[in-house]
Amino acid sequence: AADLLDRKTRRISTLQDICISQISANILRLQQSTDSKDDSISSQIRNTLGGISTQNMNKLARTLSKNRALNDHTLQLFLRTNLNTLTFHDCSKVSYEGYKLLAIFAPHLSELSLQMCGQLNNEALMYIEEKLPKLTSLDVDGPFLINEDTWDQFFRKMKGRLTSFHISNTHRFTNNSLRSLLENCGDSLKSLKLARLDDLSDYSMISKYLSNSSFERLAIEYPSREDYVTDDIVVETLSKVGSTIKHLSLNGCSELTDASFINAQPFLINKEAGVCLLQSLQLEELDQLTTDGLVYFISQTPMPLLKFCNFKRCFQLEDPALTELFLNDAARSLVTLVLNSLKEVRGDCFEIMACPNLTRLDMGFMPCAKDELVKKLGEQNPKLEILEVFGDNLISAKAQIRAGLTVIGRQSDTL
Amino acid sequence: MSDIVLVSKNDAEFTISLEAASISPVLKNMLSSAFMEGHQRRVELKEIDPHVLEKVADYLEYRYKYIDATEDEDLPEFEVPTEMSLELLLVADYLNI
Repeated sequence: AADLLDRKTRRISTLQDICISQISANILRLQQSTDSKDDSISSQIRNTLGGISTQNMNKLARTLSKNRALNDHTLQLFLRTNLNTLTFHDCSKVSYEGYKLLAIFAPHLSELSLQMCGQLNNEALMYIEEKLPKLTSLDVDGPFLINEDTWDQFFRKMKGRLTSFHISNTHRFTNNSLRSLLENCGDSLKSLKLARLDDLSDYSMISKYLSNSSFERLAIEYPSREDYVTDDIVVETLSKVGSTIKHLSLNGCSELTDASFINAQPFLINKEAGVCLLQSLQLEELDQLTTDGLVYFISQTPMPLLKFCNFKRCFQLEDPALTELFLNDAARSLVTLVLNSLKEVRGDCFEIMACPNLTRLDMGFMPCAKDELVKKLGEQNPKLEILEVFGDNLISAKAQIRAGLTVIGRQSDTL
Repeated sequence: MSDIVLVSKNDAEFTISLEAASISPVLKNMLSSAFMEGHQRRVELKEIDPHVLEKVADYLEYRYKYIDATEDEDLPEFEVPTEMSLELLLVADYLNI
């Protein structure tokens, strides 16, 4: 941005860009000079480029995605390996042919995550099912070419195999698709995420099918209409899987009220352990949640394993709700806490806040955030490394920041 | 202008100027914080192989040298050996350069 202001147009390529163009050029060259059916081509590519360990493969995938450089050519780097898990954060340039190659030449994959996979089509999905016999976990974001029929076919084939299914951002995943998923794989599923699915309206069937006794993760996020996900649905579902659940996300289900948490509370306590096993709890945008409701819920629910907690934009919450959280067992285990936009919080709750493991705190857009509070939070939370303060205009350049703590988003820090 | 030292695996050392090192936000942070690196003007990057770190040091100096280059100036290409490109990419990502 500074360059733009100075009217500089010349930019020296980043080292990452230089490396990536070098890598792409060589892959192209090798592909042209060898027969593409040759089995050794992928390892030849990797060897020419200096080799890479299997552990670094996912790091490489992340770096390529970050640079928007993952395509059918660079995909070659990941073929014919012993990889078990693979995450592509940005597949927007991978064509359906690329997915087919991946399915054929990476047969050991058991966990596959394809984000922004807009070009994944019906044929490629069925290829993935057919060619990856060990696949148990699939996470797809944006697979809008896959239609109802193919989902149904896919889930039938994956019956008994699928333990984790995450899907987001597609309008072609319908009530029928969800029914097929649950009927075929409901008893094996340990992890289910349904986010931003525009054509899905019947969330009530989830509770009828989930029956795995070690169910761990449930995410129902941003339904297309808020009244699709009601208190009854959440309570009913948690009555089935609540006692073992480790990760719960209800982000953007803004129809939910205190009733969800008050009524589901007993189901969240694991009988054997006597506590709640939740490790992460995300309740973004639940603006009907009240302080009284949450105080009751937290006071009744010891959460000694809770590491990640998100109350972003739960506008009604006031100090007592957070005080109750800081008095809970969770205070000792919390690593990340998001309090963004809690405008009713005055700040009294931070007096008793002492979280020995907290490393990250987001308190953006909280009117109570002041210079003194930054100092206090640094002192009371010895491991705090990152404090986000976007939109907190009372935090000035004078705030005393403990060594080792990074404060992000101060107005006075802008260039 | 003050110099700083980057230390790689096997304790090989590479000296570059502070200005060049500051091109990497990660190195800049390490050098400006109150951590040990700040006092000693040494940054230990012991995960990184010597020949890769040497290339990184070269790049930072190259980038710093031409940082004010205008549009019509001819810049030499920065050469990356093919056999190092994967490893270097991961390090470049880590250092955010």
